[in-house]
Amino acid sequence: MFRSFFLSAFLLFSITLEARVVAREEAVVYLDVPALGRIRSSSSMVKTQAVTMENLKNAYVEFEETIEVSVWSNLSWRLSFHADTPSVLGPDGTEKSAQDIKWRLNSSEPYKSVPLHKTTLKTSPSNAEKEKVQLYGKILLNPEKDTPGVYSINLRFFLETLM
Amino acid sequence: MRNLFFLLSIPCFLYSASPQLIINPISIHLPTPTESDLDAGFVQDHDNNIYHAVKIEVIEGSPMRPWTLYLRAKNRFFSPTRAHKQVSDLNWKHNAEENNSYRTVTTSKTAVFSSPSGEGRRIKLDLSVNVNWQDANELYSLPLEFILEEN
Repeated sequence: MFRSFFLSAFLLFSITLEARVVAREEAVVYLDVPALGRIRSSSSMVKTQAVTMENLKNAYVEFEETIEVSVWSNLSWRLSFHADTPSVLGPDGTEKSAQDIKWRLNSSEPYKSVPLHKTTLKTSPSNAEKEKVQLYGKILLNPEKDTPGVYSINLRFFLETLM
Repeated sequence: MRNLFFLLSIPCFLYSASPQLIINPISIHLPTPTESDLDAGFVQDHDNNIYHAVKIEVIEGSPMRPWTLYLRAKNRFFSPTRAHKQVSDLNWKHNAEENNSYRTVTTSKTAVFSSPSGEGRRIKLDLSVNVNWQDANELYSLPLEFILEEN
């Protein structure tokens, strides 16, 4: 009789213990993050201040304002750009070659001509959150041909995310 | 008389039914983040209490006993682990709760709902995941475990 009692008690005790966690189920959360990137530029138009006779005599003038491009990317990235048109628009509808616009990213590097075809401006192996890229520019002037006034050209920027 | 206690235990065993747990869906696909989601810092899987990320149905046992539903993440990081996206980026709340009620999911058991009466219940949860521009282009996944315990 005692043996039966203990057997029953053990059985009930076991059931009670096992019943504590009564169910387990699993669900899996998925999050698909795509390659995302965005650029914003302070201006797409490079515009000189009014070129003076003094500037013409110096044969160049630096742009007073830099063009600032902000980059967002959740992957490594490449920023490229090119001039929208092959010529710079000058005063009174005059035109001069876009090659006369020169640019550089900092004062320690030489100026390069503004490209007419997509050219890499900067690459980065890491992600970016509002990383600023500044372009410093100048325009070459020909005192024989060019006239005082404002010169401008549109630039187009491209961002590619890299795997 | 000799086997009375043993025989008495059999009906108890036969007539007791444990509560059941049904999860739907078992694959929870959070909305694909956009640039503005990365700016905002999160992406949420809910829509004005109409839509919810996951529904958990607890079917009461017989006899009814008080129960508690727990939630825990099974890993400390989302897969793939090379992306180092932590479980603490995942948050949950009850569908009817306000947007500022999200709690962080952890690898420890967290009580989601308790039923002192043991009655069955449908529980709708919203999920929110912290995202930012550090989150690389990946398909992240994280297993969640729902545990039903009788109190």
